[in-house]
Amino acid sequence: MTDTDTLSDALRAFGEVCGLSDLVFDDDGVAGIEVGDNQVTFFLSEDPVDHLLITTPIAQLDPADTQSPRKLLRTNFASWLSGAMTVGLDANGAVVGAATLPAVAASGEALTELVRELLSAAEKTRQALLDVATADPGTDLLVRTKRAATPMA
Amino acid sequence: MTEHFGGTDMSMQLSALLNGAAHSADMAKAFLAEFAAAKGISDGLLDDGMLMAEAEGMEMMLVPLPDRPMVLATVELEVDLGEEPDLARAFLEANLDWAATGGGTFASLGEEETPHLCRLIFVQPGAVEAFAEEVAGVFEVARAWLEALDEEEPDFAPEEGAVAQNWMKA
Repeated sequence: MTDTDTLSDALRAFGEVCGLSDLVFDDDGVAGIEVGDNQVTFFLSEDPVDHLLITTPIAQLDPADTQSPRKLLRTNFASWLSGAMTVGLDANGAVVGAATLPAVAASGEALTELVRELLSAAEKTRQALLDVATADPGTDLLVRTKRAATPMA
Repeated sequence: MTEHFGGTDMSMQLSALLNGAAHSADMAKAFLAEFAAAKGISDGLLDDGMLMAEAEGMEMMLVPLPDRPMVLATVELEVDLGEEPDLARAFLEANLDWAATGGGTFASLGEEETPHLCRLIFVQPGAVEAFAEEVAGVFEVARAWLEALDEEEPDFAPEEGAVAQNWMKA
C-alpha cells in the first residue's frame, strides 16, 4: 500500500465519521468538506511529500490592517507548539490555519482528532483577532469571513 | 549569555509557556545535556535544561519539551515588527511555505514584537549528529532570512496558490 493509499483510506474513514460515504481526493489530490460553518480542505502534499495537508480559512485581513498580522504571529506560537495548527496568510490575504498529518501516522481516528484540534485552534485565533479589533477601534479593519467561500480550493 | 534573547525574561517566558503540563522533561533535557557535552557547549546549559547555541553570529535557544521527546529550537530575528509592520505579513505568508521555514514556523513569543523562527526537533538518545544537522538546518534558514531582510527591497511574496502546493510543519 502506498502512502497515497494510506492517506486516502484515512480520508475515507474520516468521511464516514462525518456521515459522508464518498469523501475522496479529486484528480488534483484535493478534497473538501464543511464542518458547521467551517470549510476544511485536504491536500495530498507535494512538499513535504507523504503528508496530508489540512487547511481551514480563519479570516480575511484588510490590506491596511497592521495590527492583526502581529497579533497572529503572537497567537501562532501556542497553536503551533500544541500541534494543532500553524497560522499563515495566503496570497489572497486570507488567514489560514493549517496542519499536516504524515502518512505513517494516518488513520481515520488520527485525522478526526487533528481536524477537531484544527477547528478549535482556528476559532481561538478568530476570537483573538476580534479582541484586537475590540480593544482598538481605530484599527477595526479586520473583516471576518467565517462563512466565506473557500479561498484556496 | 542570554542577553540576546532578552536575558532571563525570555527564559522565564518560555518556561511559563511550555510548562503548563509539568511532566518530566528528563528525556529531552538529558539529551540536550548529552548534545552540549558532545559539542563542548555545556557552558550554554541553563538551570532549567535549556541550551543556548551560537553560530555565525546568531544565537539559538533549545528548549526541552516537558511532555514529548522533542526540543524546541528558536532563533530570534532582530526585526521590530512594530516599526516594520508589513514584515509581519511576510512572515505569516512564509508559514504556508515549507521551504521558506524549513518545516518550522514564524511566531512572536509573549508580547514581543520580534519574530522567531521556531522548529520542533525529535530527539533520540545518542543521535547527537543527527540532531546537530537539524540544528544547522534551522540556522541556515534563519541566516537566509536575515540576508533577505538586509536587502533594500526584499521580495517575500509567495507564489499564487502556494498554500496548495507547499506547506508547513506538523
